[in-house]
Amino acid sequence: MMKKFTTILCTASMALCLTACGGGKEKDITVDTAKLANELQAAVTSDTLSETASDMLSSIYFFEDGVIEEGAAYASSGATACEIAVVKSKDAKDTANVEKLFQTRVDNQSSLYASYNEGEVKKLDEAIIKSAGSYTVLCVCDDPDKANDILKDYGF
Amino acid sequence: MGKPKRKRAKKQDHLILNLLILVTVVLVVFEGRLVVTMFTYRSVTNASPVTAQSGTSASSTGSMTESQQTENASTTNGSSSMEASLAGLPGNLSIPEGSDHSTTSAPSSNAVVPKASTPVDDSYFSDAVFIGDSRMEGFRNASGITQGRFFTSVGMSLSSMRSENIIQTPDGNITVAAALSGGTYNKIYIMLGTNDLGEYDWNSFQDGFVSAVKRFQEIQPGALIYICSVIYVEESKVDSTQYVNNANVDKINSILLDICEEQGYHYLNLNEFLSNGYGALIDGASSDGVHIYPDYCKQMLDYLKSHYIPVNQPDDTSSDETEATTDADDSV
Repeated sequence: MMKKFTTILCTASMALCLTACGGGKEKDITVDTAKLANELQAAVTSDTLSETASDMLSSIYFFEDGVIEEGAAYASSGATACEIAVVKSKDAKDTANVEKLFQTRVDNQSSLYASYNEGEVKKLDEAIIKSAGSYTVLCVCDDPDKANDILKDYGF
Repeated sequence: MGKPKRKRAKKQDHLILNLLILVTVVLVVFEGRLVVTMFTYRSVTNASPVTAQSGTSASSTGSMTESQQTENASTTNGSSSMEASLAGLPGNLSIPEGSDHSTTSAPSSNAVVPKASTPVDDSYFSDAVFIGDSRMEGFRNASGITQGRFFTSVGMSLSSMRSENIIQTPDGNITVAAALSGGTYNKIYIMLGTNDLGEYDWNSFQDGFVSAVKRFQEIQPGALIYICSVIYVEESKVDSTQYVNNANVDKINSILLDICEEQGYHYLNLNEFLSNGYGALIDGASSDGVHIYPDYCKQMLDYLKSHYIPVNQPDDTSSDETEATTDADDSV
């Protein structure tokens, strides 16, 4: 009896763990990428960011052809490392790869800013990279706490 | 009783007269400046056409003899040199901001790309690569440009452009030369020099720059080479004015123009529209005095679209001198 109870308990625990692990990324949410990107750039950075043409996103972040369904990005005129990108992958399974590309971008930027404007490296260290459903966000900004609050409201 | 009134009326007349004089003086000063700028702009756009339009080769541009240059310089008077500075063209001497610009010589040059009658659209940049520092990166981010490859890096200097791993890829940073070897490009735009303003061995800068661009030509033989002028700065907002100043911008631009003349490259005089008319960046065009706001990046895109060498005109500047190579790892 005890053995049976333990087996059921273990199975239930495993199932709960698996559900918890996958829960964050497989939410079925819908995000207006342009609206979220615009809201972030207006609220979390003191730099004047401008919207980057969507055609340029692949060459900046190295997305493979056909992976991204839509996206919006704001970047600095060159004065700071601040940038915001919100993209929707065609397949939610690709978000892990998008996160990896965002992390590579942050690492590359960090190594370049280290010798150019060291003050910006801290922002890159605190860069937010998050996924929810098919969406992934990169946010390098002055106020990561506020950015996280905004992202929470959007389901991230 | 009537006298004080008349006196008051007289005083008011004087006041109005003084105000009118003041307004007239202000108008003369500011409008005069606009008129001068307008005329100098015309003098630049009416400059001798560049290679492709005139049908002469770019190398012939570079073959302008020293005596011809001396002759041109000797015919230069003070007013025309001032006009050149107002138009954003570099003088042969460094010009401190606020000076009367009277010591500069007119650098009218066949290497300066004139305004075309018909602007191109973004498709012109589909086979172009843009190499440059944070200012070029800002242009990519903010101008709205939709085509072209960008090999840019914050802090890019001549030295780092030649040998350091500064161009981002999914596998980390690589050299400009290695990045350039990854595709085929028919136009190369280069914006470099802001991070070299503290370089006072200008001969060394000139030699190094030419060597770097020649290396790019080896990798991309036949590509048109566009050299962008270094954009002026707003000195009041710059921390390191001991070297990031407009006198040095003028100096480095005169070197870049010389290089273009000698090597047959095409010089894009961005200060033609970014100068305040007195050898400095337009007031309020930048948050930090260096990186221009999106509106000006958009103007820069419009400028590039209206200042180009028509693609149907062969550019033979590099074909004779260079050979293709695929040795991507060599630093330039």
